[in-house]
Amino acid sequence: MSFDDVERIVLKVSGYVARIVDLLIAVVVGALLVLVTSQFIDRNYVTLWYDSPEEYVKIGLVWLCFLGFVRASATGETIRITFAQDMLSPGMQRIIAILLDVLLLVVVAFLAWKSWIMIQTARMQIILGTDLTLDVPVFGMLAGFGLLVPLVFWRLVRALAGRPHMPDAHPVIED
Amino acid sequence: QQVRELRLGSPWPSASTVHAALPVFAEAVERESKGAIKVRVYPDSQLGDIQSLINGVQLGTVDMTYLAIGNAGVLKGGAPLNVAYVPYLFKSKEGAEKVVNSPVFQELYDNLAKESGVRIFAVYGARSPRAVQNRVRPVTKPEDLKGLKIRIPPIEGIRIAFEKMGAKPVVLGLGDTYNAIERGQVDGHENGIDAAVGYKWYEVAKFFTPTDHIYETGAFYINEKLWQSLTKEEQEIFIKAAKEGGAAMTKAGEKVDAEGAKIFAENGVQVSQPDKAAFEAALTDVYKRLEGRVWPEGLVERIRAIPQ
Amino acid sequence: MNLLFLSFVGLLLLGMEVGFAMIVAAWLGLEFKAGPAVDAIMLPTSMLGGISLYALVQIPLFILAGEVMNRGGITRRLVEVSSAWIGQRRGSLGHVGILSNLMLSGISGSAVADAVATGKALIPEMRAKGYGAGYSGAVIASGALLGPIIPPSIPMVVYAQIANVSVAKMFLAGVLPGLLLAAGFLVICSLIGKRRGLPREPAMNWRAKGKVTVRAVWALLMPIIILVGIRMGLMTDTEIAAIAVIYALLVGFFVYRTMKLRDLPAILMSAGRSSAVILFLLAAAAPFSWLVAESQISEHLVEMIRQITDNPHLILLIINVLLLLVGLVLEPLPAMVIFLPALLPLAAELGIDPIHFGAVVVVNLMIGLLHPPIGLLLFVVCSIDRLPFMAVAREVLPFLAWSIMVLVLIIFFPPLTVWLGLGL
Ligand code: NA
Ligand code: NA
Repeated sequence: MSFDDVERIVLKVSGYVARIVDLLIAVVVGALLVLVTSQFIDRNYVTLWYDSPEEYVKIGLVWLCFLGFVRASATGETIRITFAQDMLSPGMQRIIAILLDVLLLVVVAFLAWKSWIMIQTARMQIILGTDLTLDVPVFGMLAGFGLLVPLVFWRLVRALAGRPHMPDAHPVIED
Repeated sequence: QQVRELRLGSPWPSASTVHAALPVFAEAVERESKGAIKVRVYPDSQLGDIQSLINGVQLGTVDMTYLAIGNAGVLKGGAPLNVAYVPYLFKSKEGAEKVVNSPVFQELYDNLAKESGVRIFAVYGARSPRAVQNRVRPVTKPEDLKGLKIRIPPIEGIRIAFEKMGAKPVVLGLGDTYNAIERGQVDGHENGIDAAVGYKWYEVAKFFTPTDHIYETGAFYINEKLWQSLTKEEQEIFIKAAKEGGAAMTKAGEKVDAEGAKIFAENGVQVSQPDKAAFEAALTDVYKRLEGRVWPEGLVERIRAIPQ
Repeated sequence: MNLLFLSFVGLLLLGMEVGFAMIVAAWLGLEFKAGPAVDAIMLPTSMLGGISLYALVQIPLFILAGEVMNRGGITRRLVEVSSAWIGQRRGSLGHVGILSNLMLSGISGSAVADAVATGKALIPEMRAKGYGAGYSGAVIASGALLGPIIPPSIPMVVYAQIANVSVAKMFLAGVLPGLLLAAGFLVICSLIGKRRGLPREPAMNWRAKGKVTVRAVWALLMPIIILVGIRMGLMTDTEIAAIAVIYALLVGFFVYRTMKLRDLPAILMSAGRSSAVILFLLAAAAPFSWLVAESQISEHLVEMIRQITDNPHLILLIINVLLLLVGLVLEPLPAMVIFLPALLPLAAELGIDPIHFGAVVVVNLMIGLLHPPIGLLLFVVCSIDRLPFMAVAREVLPFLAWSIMVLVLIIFFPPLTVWLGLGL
C-alpha cells in the first residue's frame, strides 16, 4: 500500500469525524442561544428553570472551546505568529515545523492523560444547580485533546515523509 | 525525629478574615505535635482555585484545604451536607459549631470520606450570619419579600426557602451581583454582612435585614488516606488545632462585621430588625421537599433534637 | 520567571500556536519553578476554570449575530444607504466605506469580518472608479477598525472578563472614541477626495433616498437596540447578546428573506469555530496568568517603571508605548490575555479607572491591526482584491496618524471613555 493509499483512508475517516464534530459544534452553539434566551424569559415572564441554566451554559462553553479548537486546528484557523519563521529557509522551516509538532504531540498527549485523571475525581463532584457531575465538561476537554493527538500525529507523519505541509487556510481571527 | 510536612492550600486572600484561621491552625499543630508535623499554608490560591484544591485533596496532590461546608456539596457523598443550609436549623454561631461537629454530622463526614476520598475532620470558624438586603423596601416579615428578585448561591435549600416566601430567587455569580442590583435586574441578595461590605452591595441596596436564617461555618478538608495514616493522638491534635484556628477566624470576622455596621450607617443603609418568629414559622417546613432526596429521611429531626 | 517568558517568546516566534505556547511555558514553570507543591493537574483544572465563565457566552453569541446579519444581505443595504446620503461629495466612496463600516460596527464585534464584508462590496468599485488600489484598501481597513471599538465588541468582552468589570460599561466606553475615529476618517476622506479630484456619485432625489433608507432601517435598528438595551438595563449583558441573535435571525428570515433554514447549521458551525479559537486562548491563559501572578512579575514591573517616574499620566503613556510595540507583532486578543494580568494591578495601583484603562488598551491594540509588519487588517483587505501590500500600508498612514491622536486624546481625557457609562 502506498503512502497515498494510506492517506486516502486517513482523510476519509477524518472526514467522517470532522462532520460529526461540526454537527456537535452547531448543536452546542444553538443550545447556548436557546439557554440564554430562555433565561431572559425565565427572569421576566414565565418560570422555566429549576436547575441553574448558568451551569449548563458553562458546560456548553467548555465543549465548544475544545471541539471547535480541534476543527480550527485542522483547517489552520488558529492564531500563530509566522513572520520570524517566514524569514528562514524552507529547509529550516521544515525542521522547525517537525520539532514543534513533536513537542505539540507530547503536550497534547500529556494534557489528554491529565484530563483523564481529572475525570476520575470529577465524576465524584456534582455541578451545583444541576443533576450532572463535573466529568461532563471534562469529557469535552478530553475529547478535544484526544482528537488533537491523531491530528498532530498525522501532520507529523506527513512532514517526516517529506510531504508538503498541510494547506493552511487564511487565518481567521475574530477580534 | 522525623518531621512530616503537610500542604494546606487555601483560596482565600491572606488579608481576608477567613485566612486568619490558618496560621493559627498550623502553629497549633506544630506546637501540639512537638514539631513532628509541620503544616505549610499556601493562601491566595497559590495551589489553585477552589476547584483545583478540591481535585487536589481528592488526588492527594494537596493535603488539606479550608472551605465553606457548602463546598462539600459538590463532592459525591457530600449532598447530605446541604442540610446545613436548612433555614433556622442553627440558633447561633456556637450552636452551629456544636451541631456540625456532633456525631450526627460525623456520620455524614464518614460517608463523604468513603464516597469521595475527602474527609471533613473539623468544622470551626463562623462567617457572618446570613441576611437579606434589597433596594426596594424595608423587610421585616416574610411577606415583605413577595415579588422581589433575590440573588442566591446555587444551594437548593436557600432557593426553596425564598420561593416559599414569594420571592424570585435568581442564581448569579458573586461578581455580577453589584451590577445586577444597580440596574434592577435583581432587587437584592441573600448573604452575610461580610460579603455585602466586601462586594460593596450596600452602595446599591439600601435596605438590610439581619434574618440570621443560616449560620455558615468553615470546614477543614483533608485527604482521607492521609487522615487514616495518622494516629488517634495526631487526629486529636488536628481537631484541637482546628478549633483554635476557627476561633481566631470567628473573632476576626466579628471585628469586620462591626466595621461593616459602621459602613452601613455612613452609607445610609436602613437596617430593619426582622420578626424572626414569623420567618421561622414561614420556613419551618420547607426542608421536607429535600428530605429523603438530598439527605436521609429524619435527619433534620435528629439535628433539631441536639440541644444548642 | 525568566524561564516562563523566554520559553513562551521562543515558541511564539518559532510559530507555535499562541495558546499552546502559553501552555508549554506554564507547564515548564510548574515543573521547574513552582516546585513539587503543585501538581501538573493544575493545567487542565485551571484551563477548565478559565472558560467556565458564564459571561464568555457573549463571544459565540455576538459572533453569531454578526454572521447572521452578514449573510442576511445587511452590508449591501448599509452601503446603499450611506451612498444615498453622502454620494455627492468628492471621493464619496471613501466616505461610504467609513460610514458603512461605522454602521456595521454597531452590529458586529469583529474587525476582520467587517473588512471582508465591506471590502468585497466596495474595493472593486473604488478601484474601477480610479480611487487607486492602495487608498481603496486603506479606507476599508481603517473603517473596519471601528468594529471592535463601537459596541458590541469581542475584545471588550474579553477585557471585562480579565479585569472583572462590567461589560456594559466597557461597551459604552468604546462609543465616543469610535465616533471620534470615524469623524476624523471622514475628514481625511474629504481632504484626499478634494486634493486628488476623485469622482462624485450621481445625485439622488429625496424619494429614492427615502426608499433606500427604509430598506436599511432594520439593519440600522440593531445597534440602537443594543445600545438602548445596555444603557437602560432592560436585559443583562449576556441576554443582550442572545436578543441580538434572535433579532438578526428574525430580520434575515422574515424581513429581508435572504436566509433559509438550511443555511443555519453552517452559520452556527462557523460561529462556533471562530469563537472556539478565542475560548481556547482564554483557557490556555488561565494556567499561564496564574504563574504570572505567582512570579510577581507585575510587582517587578511596577518597581521598574517607578524608578523612571511617579507621574500616573507619564506611566500610562509608557504603558501605551509598550503596547504599541506589542501591537507590531501581536493580535489584540493574545496581547490582552498575555499582558493584562501584569498590567492591571499596575493600573490599579496608579488609580487609573479600569474602564478608562480598558478602552485605552483596546484602542491601542486595535491600531496594531493597521500597521506592518503584522497588520491583520492590511492582510485581509489585500487578500480580498489582490492589492499591493506596501501601497495599502502607505495610504493607511493618515488614518493611522489620526488613530494615534485619538488614542492620545482618550489617554488624557478619561471622560471620553467613562462618561457614557456614568451612573450605570
Ligand atoms: Na462592534
Ligand atoms: Na501591527
